[in-house]
Amino acid sequence: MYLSERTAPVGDLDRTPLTPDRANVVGLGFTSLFTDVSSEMVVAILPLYLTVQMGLTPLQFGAFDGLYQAVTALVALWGGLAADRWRRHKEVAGLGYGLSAASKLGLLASTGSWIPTASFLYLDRTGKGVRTAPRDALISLSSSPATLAESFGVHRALDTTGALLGPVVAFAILILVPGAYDVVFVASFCAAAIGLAVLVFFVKNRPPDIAPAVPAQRPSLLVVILGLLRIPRFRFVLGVGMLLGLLTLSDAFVYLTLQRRTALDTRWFPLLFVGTALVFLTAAVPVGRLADRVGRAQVFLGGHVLLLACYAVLLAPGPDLARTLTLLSLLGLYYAATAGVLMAMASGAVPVDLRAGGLALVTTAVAVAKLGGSLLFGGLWSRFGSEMAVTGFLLGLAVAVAAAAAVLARQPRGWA
Amino acid sequence: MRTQDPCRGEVVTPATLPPAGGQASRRRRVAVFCALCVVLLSVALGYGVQAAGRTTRDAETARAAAAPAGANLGASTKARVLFQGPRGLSVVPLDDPQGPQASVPFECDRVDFAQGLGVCLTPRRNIISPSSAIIFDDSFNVIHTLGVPGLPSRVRLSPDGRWAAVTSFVDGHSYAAEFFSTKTVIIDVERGRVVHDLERFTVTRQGQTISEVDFNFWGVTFTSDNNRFYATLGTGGHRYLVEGDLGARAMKVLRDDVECPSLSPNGQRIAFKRRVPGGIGPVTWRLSVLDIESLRETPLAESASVDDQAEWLDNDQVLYGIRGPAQTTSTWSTPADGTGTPRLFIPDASSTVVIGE
Repeated sequence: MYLSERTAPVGDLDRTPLTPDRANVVGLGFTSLFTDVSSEMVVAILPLYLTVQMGLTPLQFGAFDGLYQAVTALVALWGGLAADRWRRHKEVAGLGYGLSAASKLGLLASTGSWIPTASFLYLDRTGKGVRTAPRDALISLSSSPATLAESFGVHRALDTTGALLGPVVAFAILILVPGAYDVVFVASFCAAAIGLAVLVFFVKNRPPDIAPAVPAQRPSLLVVILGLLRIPRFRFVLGVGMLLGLLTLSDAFVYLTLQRRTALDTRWFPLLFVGTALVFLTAAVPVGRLADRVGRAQVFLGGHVLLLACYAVLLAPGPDLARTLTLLSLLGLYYAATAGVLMAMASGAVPVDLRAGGLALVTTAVAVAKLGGSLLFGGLWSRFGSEMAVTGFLLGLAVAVAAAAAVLARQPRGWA
Repeated sequence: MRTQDPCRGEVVTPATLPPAGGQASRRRRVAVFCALCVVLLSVALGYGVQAAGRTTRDAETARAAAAPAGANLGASTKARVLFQGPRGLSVVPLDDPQGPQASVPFECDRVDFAQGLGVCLTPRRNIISPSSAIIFDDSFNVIHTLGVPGLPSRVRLSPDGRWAAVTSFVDGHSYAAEFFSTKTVIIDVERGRVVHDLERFTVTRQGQTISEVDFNFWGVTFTSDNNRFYATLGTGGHRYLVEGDLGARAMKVLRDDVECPSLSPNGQRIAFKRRVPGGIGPVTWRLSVLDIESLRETPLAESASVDDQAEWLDNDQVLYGIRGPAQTTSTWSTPADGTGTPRLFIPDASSTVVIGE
């Protein structure tokens, strides 16, 4: 016996059946592909650009990057709420993509001084924050309930492809025309513009042509959050996401730990990300289909069991190459089983007219939890060393997964 | 209904029948989109082509103008100054630093020389090729070449020329940006091999071993026993002066806020830079001297920001590089006791090394 989900404010949209639109999902995937090519191009050359051309120290750059992440999280909640309120997910997402594209032109214009450069990079991040939740809401509203995880898998696969292509294009440009960071910015703008064009021309708003919500149906952020928290399924998704996120090591930490415990040269760092991304993008769609068939929460928890295996590989002795390849595969599969699947889980737990806001809340909360996890891990490492820190996370994550599984087992199949 | 998108060669399947007139509007959308793609790609390509035509600073023309004669560092026992100038690695007599230069076509971000062997750190030519540490003899013949990860930063040789400490900025991917770090290795100069990585040394502070994720080491300077050295340890927002022992592979923390130390010839004082606190924007540093015995610090007369590991001209004066308005570096000198005024030592010169005193 479980409580009814309909304890949250229900709008008129919940009663409108939506036919799935696979083309929309693919269109959003290609928008993300081109946009990721654009942003990853800039991000790949950023360390060199900021330190060599702008004269920033590495430590300044690190501080800059931390603030970068925080801006995204703050703006994300606003983007989700606005999209729900105006019922214009496509337009709000388009605003975000447009801001990011424009910021590339700004970067081009601001060579020589670091303040405009930093401002435009933050503008780019703002755009990303604004568009993420409405875009994910669009994906969920373009799928049937039985294909939610697969749709997110398709989108994440295309998205990751773009993220892999970006640095390749950037480095190709810098090989052909050494030192020409301005060419990278121009190319980045063009890629972002193509991504925006795909959205404008080929993605339809979902649900189509609905009037914006009347004032009585426009709750404030606080009311939205409280309303969502009254839904048991949403509470489960949010709680599990945050708890497991707290005990998740970030990519950078995993690779750093691997590098410290093996003889891996730091030159290969970038290739580690590429390896994981390749596994992720290959597995995203099949694992998404699996999640739709078997149960999303089950696959989500299964992905964290893979993460446990990663931690074990970090601790285990053995040949460096075998450990590295195993780790990259496990990590890639973990992402395939969790990144899009979490959004699919959340989509199933949030009513249609709160979709973007609900997804934004989950994304932001999990991001905050992961930040907390990074701080926790860093602290454990300083006091007890890397081995104890990883062991601690391994034990903690095992307990968390077991607890989540116990809660899940008491619910009927297909609950989450 | 399946339609081919001519632009992407992708098959698009609408889930529902399009409304009347939708076919034409769809073709229109596709056409406009394709046109837009063509325009954007042309813009990107056109811009790239015109950028490739730009003349970048050509090391080849600089090399053509170089005069290799007279640039043999073993030729005389007179004191000379080696530095990186616009025509390449250049040598001038110590008593006439602004006089005629003898140059060889090397382009070094950083150079040091001791006892007949020198190390030149060259930057990467493009993103894929690595930076290099080029080991050369006193006739500027290349003996060894080693790859250096990331961007070269500092190089210092031990007085007997046996060890070279090389620091580089290791650049990572965006996800790893929070761990942007330096790597400092010790090279056996004669054999041309890396023998130590400072990150694998034991670090102690007041007797306790410390170890953090964010340890970075840079700015090594050797003492006259060719085993002990001073360096900078950056961690948790601090920059500590550490004293190290190569043989023991250990370092101990001595003092906070002492960056890029440089030991005087008589081993009694350390020139260093210290961040000027406050303000936003790029960091500025002040050059100072620490007396090792008394631990007294004396800021030097140079008021401009000095982002450099200073070089001692003699026991009373230090040399350092200052970036001018045209982004070229010049070498200045100032007394080491904090008195006097800075004087231009060699214009258009960086990474100055005093040889043979």
